[in-house]
Amino acid sequence: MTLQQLINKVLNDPAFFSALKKDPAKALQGTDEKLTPEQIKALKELNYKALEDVGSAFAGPSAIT
Amino acid sequence: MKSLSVSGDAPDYFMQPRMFPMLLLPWWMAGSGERKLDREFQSDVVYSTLNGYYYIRLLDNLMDGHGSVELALLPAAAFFHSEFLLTYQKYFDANHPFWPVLRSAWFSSSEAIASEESVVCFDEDAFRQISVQKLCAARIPLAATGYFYRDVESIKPWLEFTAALASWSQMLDDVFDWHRDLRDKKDSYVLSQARRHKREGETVEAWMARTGFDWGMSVLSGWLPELRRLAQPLRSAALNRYLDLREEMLEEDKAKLGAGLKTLVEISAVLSSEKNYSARPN
Repeated sequence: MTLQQLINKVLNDPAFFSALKKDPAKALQGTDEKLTPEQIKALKELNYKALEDVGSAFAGPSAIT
Repeated sequence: MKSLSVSGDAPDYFMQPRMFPMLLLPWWMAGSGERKLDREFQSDVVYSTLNGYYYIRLLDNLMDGHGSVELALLPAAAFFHSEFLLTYQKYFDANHPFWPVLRSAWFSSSEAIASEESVVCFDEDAFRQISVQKLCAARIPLAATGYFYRDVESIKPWLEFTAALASWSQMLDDVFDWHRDLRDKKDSYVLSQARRHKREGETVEAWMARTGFDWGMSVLSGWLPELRRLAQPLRSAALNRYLDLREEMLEEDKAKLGAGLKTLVEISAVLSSEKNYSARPN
């Protein structure tokens, strides 16, 4: 999955976004990704709490003008 | 009107802290002098501004080409336009200098909406001359406030501040709407920067996550001192508190959303490292 595909999936697919925050390896294995144990370990070490507001900030209704 | 608001309640839409403060600016201007505020006038200014906003928003959504109910609502433009304009007829006679200000700002705003469609590449000039000009109708209630309270000298510095705040707000809009704009095939200054600066083969999405969001937030931080400078002579404590709040929100967003986008870049890096991991001997 490219970064473009990942961003679009995160911002357009709330179910995937929700699953990614809970269990990234499981969420990504639900896509076409075949993850190695090393990748799963590396994915578990990332900061998913930081993703919390990304969906509402960039995908929800515009809140500015 | 209900669909613009996340809660479905129209007032909530205008009370969002990120919203361009079109209703507050005339209130702050009126309150900056030592004068008794005329509540009926202030209420009329809010009413007129709301109607003007819905009129412009209706046209803008139609011009963007992604409006859903706007075409069916188009006849309501007559109501919004009349209410916006007629409210001021209570206060200013036909020869009053307020009307040329209204005409100029109103026409500039409409021209900006019409021009936006034909822009091929949004450089900084196009951004300031077109995108920002869509907000220039905010000059109208400020001019009305200055003339109503016979405080004509204060109009110019308030308009200068409002123009700078309009640029800042439009830039904020571009930075936060980059994904919605990309999805809706709507160009913006931020997206044009992405296309110009992304690496060969890199997508706009990847550039925005890797560096574009940080770049946009830096531009916004860099424009804040000019807003502070222009706000100083306006002697409005409420306006200065607003700028403090916006600066705090900007810092918070920069840290929070920047970290979120960094996580996405890191996930992508892990996923693209599959070959390296697979190639390792067991």
